[in-house]
Amino acid sequence: MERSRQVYLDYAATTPVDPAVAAEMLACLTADGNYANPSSDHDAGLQAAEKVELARESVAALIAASAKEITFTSGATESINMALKGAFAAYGKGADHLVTSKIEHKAVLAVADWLESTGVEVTRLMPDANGVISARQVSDALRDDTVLVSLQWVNNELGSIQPIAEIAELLKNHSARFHVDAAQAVGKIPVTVAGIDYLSLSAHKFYGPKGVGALYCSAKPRARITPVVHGAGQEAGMRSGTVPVHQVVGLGAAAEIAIKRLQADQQRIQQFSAQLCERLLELSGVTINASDASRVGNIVSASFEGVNGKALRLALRDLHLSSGSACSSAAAEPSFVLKALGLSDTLAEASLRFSLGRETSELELEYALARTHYEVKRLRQIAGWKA
Amino acid sequence: MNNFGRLGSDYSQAVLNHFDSPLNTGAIEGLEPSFSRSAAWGDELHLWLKQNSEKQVAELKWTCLGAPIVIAATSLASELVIGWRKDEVQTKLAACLLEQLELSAEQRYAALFVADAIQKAIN
Repeated sequence: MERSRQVYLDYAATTPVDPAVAAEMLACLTADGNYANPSSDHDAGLQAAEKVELARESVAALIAASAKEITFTSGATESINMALKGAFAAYGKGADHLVTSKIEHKAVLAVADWLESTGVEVTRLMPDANGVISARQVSDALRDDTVLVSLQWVNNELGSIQPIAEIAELLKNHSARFHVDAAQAVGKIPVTVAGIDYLSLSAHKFYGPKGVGALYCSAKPRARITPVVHGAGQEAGMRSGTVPVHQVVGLGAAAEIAIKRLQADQQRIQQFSAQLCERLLELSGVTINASDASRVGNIVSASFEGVNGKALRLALRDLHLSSGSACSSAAAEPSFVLKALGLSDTLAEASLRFSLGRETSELELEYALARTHYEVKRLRQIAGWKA
Repeated sequence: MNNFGRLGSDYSQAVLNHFDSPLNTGAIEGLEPSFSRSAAWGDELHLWLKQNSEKQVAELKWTCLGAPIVIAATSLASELVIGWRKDEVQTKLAACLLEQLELSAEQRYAALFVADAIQKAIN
């Protein structure tokens, strides 16, 4: 079966900007729009500030928070840095403790490493075979000096959903604050901040622009952070720097659309996801990773026996998806997330993450499946592999 | 020519052609294969090799669970070595593979690995 088209199946990496979002952003860039500095006290500045505040309300509505609890940032990585470093700066007493997991996004793992280098003790919880951290594990890891627990809501490689509400409940009885990296959850599943102290999100994971995100900090009980970026005191002193009105308006517009579309999107993508898993499993020697976990529909991670990872990825170069190797690495290392589930290096490398989105069509899915079947069989024939 | 992004452009057109349509894959019935495993990346190669009465390679079939460059190098080698004796494989094959497949420094190991494996398969 020839390569006849290209199909984008990497929506968990990033999404295209919704045209309605782009239109609203454009109206904040040029001389006839809201381009003014929202900190200025003239009319143009006030109008821009009004747009920023409307966007703040939309983001708050998406996660059931109030507008004053939202700080705009450049994206989830910055939000995570602010929450983790900021919470330790605000509440740490010296030799303190952080609880996180081994399957967090690099943005959390790298900050945890940095905190460790400053003397913080870090507990990195191991997920079960389905990529899930249990509330019990968190409870067992807590100490009197635990300042923060930081976990992701949805794993970016597996799509497994963590029991956030349960963990939030147990942390009510402990002084530790709770940060949730919700980059892969927002716009995919209902997200509410009940019991959560800090929550990070990024616009570009749900059809907003790259370069903007938000950090939620609970007002009651008050979750403080010491700011990381100092300057002229924008964003109530939490994050200095001129507020990029067009970016923030883009995030707000994406949030509004996500609220309206969440249920319909979820339903449609769940169907596609079920179809994808079923058809992949028609091939022998295929495992759907984290298949027994509660998962978001838009991420399906599959491992293929009897094929080489690099060969599989090259053979399927018409499908824009992520493989079981670290995306950022030139000398591809097998995914630490898949390895944490107990997969061998070989099998972790021979894994693909299919991530679906609003633009995914029946036809595209059909093409991707047919091509995957064809190439896996072809490579296994070349390998002389038999199930 | 659309190489389908960086994945495709990491490889020469010759590698892509052999990888997409490899030559002489499969086994020769009634013959025991010679097996090699690359130390660098764990590529696994089975070779079935027949020689004629003058000790020249008469037929070469193969299976490979390995990287694209190893598949491409074995495919090309399975055509090149027909009519060659062991000493020719030893002296010429790796250089021919490197040149014809335009392998980069990082991909060089594939040519050396396949040339070694074929030498090993020759009596």
